[in-house]
Amino acid sequence: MAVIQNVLREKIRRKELYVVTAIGLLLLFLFTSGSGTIMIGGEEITDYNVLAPVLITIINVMSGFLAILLSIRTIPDEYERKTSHLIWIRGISQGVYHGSLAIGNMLSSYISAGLLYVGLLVFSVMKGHGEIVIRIVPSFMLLLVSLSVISLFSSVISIVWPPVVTGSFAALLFLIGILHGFLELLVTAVSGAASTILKMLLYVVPDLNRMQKQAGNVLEGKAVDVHIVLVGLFTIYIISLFLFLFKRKET
Amino acid sequence: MNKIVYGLVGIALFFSVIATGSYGLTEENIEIYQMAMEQQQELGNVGFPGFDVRDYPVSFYTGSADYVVTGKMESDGQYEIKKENR
Repeated sequence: MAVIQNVLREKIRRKELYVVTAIGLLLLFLFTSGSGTIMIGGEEITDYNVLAPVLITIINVMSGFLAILLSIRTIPDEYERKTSHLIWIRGISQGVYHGSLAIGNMLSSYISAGLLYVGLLVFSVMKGHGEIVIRIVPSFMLLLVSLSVISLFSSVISIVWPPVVTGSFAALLFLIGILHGFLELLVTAVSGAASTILKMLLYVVPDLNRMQKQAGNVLEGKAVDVHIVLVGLFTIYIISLFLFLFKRKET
Repeated sequence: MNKIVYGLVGIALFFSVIATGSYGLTEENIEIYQMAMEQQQELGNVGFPGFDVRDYPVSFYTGSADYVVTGKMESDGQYEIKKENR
């Protein structure tokens, strides 16, 4: 518990969460100021029912990238600062230590996504759609599933790889996850080794877009696909096993 | 004890995923095909007289396999589905 609290304190001290808040406020300003709107075919899209799904998608994708950014440095930094030595003398195992750090990463990802969701909430209320308030909590809970997958994956590979490599790899897999549907179509057009690699990646990487879409479905009052949510929870479970399998040597 | 609970959670999640998954052609795709069969008349009106979707096999790709649907001319609304692995 102390380790988790320390991760959150560290994120605040390093101003990472403040940066995320600033991005959230900027996003809110862009979509509500009236001067920055989405243009399709030369026409300004101001209708809430058209704009809201676009905004939800932007927030979900942005939350994913922020989860990667907030998760890639925590474990390597702990070892670099030799904080790990203080853990070993208390008899805490590497698995439990890495697990606590990963939970801290997930919580900071949730907070950053929560701040963006507050932006969405304010935007919706300003547009006269206050009914979204009661749906925003279950919607946010569903978003947490995909965020946990991304954050946990970044934390796990940061045990063995340096932050830059971890960030690049996690971002690549996140892109594959959110472009899953499009890549499924693309795989029919390519052949040879590219096709085989793409098929393997699509088999391993879960459909994060479909997962995140469920959060949007709740907000829009549509049905939720329970199967993909369970796939997300099972993916979290599988990734969490690697927290105990991957070991890091002291430098 | 913790390891047992952890293992049981994994088993429960695994079977939940299996139980809730839809296999084969989705209801949504079947509805699309049925709609196409129902709108033969409409196709004639928009410049494709004589075109009948049941004359051609229609393939739905689900990411892992093709599901080829073939309508049966002799009985309206009937069709058969064959799975073809790529």
